[in-house]
Amino acid sequence: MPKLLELEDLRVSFHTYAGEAQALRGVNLTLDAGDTLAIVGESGCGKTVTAQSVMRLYPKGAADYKGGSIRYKGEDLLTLSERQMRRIRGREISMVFQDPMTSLNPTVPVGKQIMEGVLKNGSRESKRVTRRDARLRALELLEGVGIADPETRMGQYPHNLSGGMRQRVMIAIAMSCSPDLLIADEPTTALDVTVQAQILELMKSLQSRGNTSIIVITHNMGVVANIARKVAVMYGGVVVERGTVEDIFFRPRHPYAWGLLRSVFRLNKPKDEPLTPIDGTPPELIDPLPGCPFAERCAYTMRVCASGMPPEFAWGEARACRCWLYGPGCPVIPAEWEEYSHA
Amino acid sequence: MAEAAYGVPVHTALLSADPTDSHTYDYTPLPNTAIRSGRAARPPVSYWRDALDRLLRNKTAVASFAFIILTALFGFAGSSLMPGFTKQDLYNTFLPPLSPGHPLGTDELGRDLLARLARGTRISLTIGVTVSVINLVVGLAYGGLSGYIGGMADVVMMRIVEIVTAVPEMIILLLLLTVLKSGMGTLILALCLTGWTGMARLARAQALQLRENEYVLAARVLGASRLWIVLRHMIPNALGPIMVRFAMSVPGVIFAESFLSYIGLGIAIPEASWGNLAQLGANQFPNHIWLFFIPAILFSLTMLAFNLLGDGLRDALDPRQRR
Amino acid sequence: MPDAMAQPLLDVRGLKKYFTVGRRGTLKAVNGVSFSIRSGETFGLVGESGCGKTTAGRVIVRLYEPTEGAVYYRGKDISRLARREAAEYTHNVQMIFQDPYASLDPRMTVEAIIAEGMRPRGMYSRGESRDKARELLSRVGLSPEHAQRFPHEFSGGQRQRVGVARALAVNPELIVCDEPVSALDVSIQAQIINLLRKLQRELGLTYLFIAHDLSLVKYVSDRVGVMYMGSLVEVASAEDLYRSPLHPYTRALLSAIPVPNPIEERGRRRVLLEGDVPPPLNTPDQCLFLGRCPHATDRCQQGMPQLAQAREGHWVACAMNEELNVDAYTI
Repeated sequence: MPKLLELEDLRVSFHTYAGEAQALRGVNLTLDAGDTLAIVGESGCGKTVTAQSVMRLYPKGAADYKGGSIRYKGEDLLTLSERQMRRIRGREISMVFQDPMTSLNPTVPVGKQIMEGVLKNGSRESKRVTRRDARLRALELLEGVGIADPETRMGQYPHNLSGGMRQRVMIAIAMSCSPDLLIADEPTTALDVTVQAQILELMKSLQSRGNTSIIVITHNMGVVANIARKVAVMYGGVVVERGTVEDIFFRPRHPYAWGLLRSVFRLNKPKDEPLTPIDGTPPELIDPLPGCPFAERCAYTMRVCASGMPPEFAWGEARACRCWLYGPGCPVIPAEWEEYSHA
Repeated sequence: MAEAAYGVPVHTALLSADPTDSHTYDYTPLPNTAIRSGRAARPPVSYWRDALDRLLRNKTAVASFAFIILTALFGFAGSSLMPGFTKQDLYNTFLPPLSPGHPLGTDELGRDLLARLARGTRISLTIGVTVSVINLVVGLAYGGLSGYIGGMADVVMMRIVEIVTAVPEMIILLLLLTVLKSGMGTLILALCLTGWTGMARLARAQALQLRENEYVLAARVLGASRLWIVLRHMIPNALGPIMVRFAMSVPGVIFAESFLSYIGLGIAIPEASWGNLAQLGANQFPNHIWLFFIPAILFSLTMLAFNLLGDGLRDALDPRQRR
Repeated sequence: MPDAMAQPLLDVRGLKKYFTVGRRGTLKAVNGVSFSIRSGETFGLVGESGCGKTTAGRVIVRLYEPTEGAVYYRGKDISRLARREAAEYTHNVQMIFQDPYASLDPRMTVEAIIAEGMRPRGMYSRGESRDKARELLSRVGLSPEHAQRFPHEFSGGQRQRVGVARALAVNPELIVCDEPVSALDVSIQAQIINLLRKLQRELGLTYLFIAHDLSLVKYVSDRVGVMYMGSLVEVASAEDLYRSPLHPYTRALLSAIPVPNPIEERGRRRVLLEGDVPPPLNTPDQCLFLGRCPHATDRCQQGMPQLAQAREGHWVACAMNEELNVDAYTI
């Protein structure tokens, strides 16, 4: 079965005053149609760059695609012209951003902003849409994202709406073309928890209604557990581990994933149980050390880790981990294997 | 056994690598402090040092700065070396450029254009920089105070600024220049009276913004006095945008001066300035074009250089460009 | 809140802080909040954005004057301190800020930042304050060699350590931690929390811990106060609040937090609230949670409910408390 999206060895760099920042250093990812993938990682790990690269949002010259491919329905997006890309952006892949205030136009009523998308891209069935149809579609979309009294809301401006409401409008715009793939970049980070819960519910219900695949980018392991079926853990510009959500939470393999799961605050964590943080600081993107980006913070660092970036060791096609602990003939047996085999 | 539960991975990437590579991997433990210390520690770099580095890497800004320095040198050193800028020589009027003794030619009264240009550069630059400095000091004190004190004082002080801004600049200038004795002092006074409001507004905006910054709050929580906060936190942090504004305001002032001199209200002949040099040249325009073009080109290039330098400064100081 | 055992270190009574917005609006950021903090404990203040928790913290460190009510530190009203006492107060009560990028002056070296609070005290010479700054750097887990560096050379977590060192420099008793880790990455958050706990043990510090993340607040605090639109709706020990929350808002908040466990998360029964928090502008005299509360009745419109003790050490401000108490609640 063809994958909806396949990233292979994607490498992206940015040129800054301080030098070349290697934002992505060989990202591998796959996404099946209808699936939900969470890309999880800390700031600077490359999760947003991955998403923006799929959308090809970086203007020419800003980002340097140094290698690899982004195959969407079998076609490499990196080889498409800007015009072909615009068609894909409007009709097939859409995106929701973290801050709905800055991604909505403050001077245009929200209804009109939704209609614009519908008018520009047409509907699935026909290319030409009348204004009347677009209006009906916008109303339907607003209702679909759980906005009460859509007639009134249509005429309101973004600043009249609350943060949660604005994010709903953003999702309505993103869904206006019934995309095959929705990329949500930290969609709930700017929102309060009670509103976050609403938006997560909304995204799940949208997915179960249509056949949209979702990529959620987040740093919150709770959000991952809530919404994802597949998870890719990123660190230092690579996917260090990927698998199903159960794999990542109950049978994690990468030392960074172990550390991440241990440092998350859980409501049921007793006060006297100490937290185990990951020592050290996040990796540098400019002039990264050769080898595994996590080597300088890892508890199991070996000589090989400092010398070469570990390849992806795979268990089947959807489960992989970039760590030398799984290298051929590696004698080290981490305590976590034992620990997680009981879980 | 725990390892068995984890299964044996498929070494796809390794298998697809060079099959002749019989490389074995070195799995001996390595303390990760060894990796951390492998990263060479960079020497501490202060904000200003960093900004200067960036400015120096900006070729346009460096070239503009060099051009400004050269122009200033020409103006100040040149006018001292060639004091005869008013000396008339009615036998040698309208000499073209590259004439013996007169590299840039002479005007309708036989005055040496090179000497006059040096003098004019000196006068125009002096006015431009002096007025900008006065506006900077006045605006900074006024706006900074207004923004920092806030409340009613701020409201009153800003209404005054608005009133000054509301009266068209030219009306104030024309009024002052017709009432007072014309000359450099009057011109500077007139340009200062109208020019300080822009800087005052900028300084106020900076003060308002910086006042709410968390490091200023932190200093207040630590019991720092107002004076300390202004001197130690607010001025150093506001300096960047203010420097940019300063660099951009010099050409504005020079332009105003030149315009006034051109229409005969600023620096009066026989004293020279870029404005009245251009005006004299324009009178002779179709026949002796160098009299117009030489001062005009120097004037334009200097304007451009100041603006480009301002742009360069802004880029160098913009914190968004910092890693 | 009455506490017969000993005089609390900090006592906040009926605190109100209003801001004027535009011509007609009054933003009741903090609207009648009372709680007390005992010496050596960690009191958590939790709530969503705009609930007034940060404003309350800022009144306590005297960045804002209260509109009404008072804060007592060791029995003394902090807005009526003599000059000397006020100076002393700034050394007893310190603050750690949310954004480690904005809270350190980019033009100052780390040493100058840490020494800033020692300077007005005049009790250290230049050399002594330098030594003290270096000692503090190692205390917060940074190398003393970092003293001459500038904030932009550090990562977020390291900067927050500098912020902690700056607060410690004046030997405070109480530190108001205003969202000290919410701007940091998950793996770094735990480092800072461990540091704060270590310092509390070593120096006997008292914390007022302000955050929006209930699982974090629950983990670090002994007692927790939940704020909603400027009012405290529930105060209880952290364990009690988590095991048997009484206020409908607390319950919704607890149930809204996604649990980092996919199986538990799928099986959860959620109390989903409708809508967002309205801004506390010109609020009416009634329960402010009324519009979103699943249990609201007519009684909730009769004035703002006051905190009342529901059981030992567990306070709640809800008109329907008795009825709701009956239906047992688990997450």
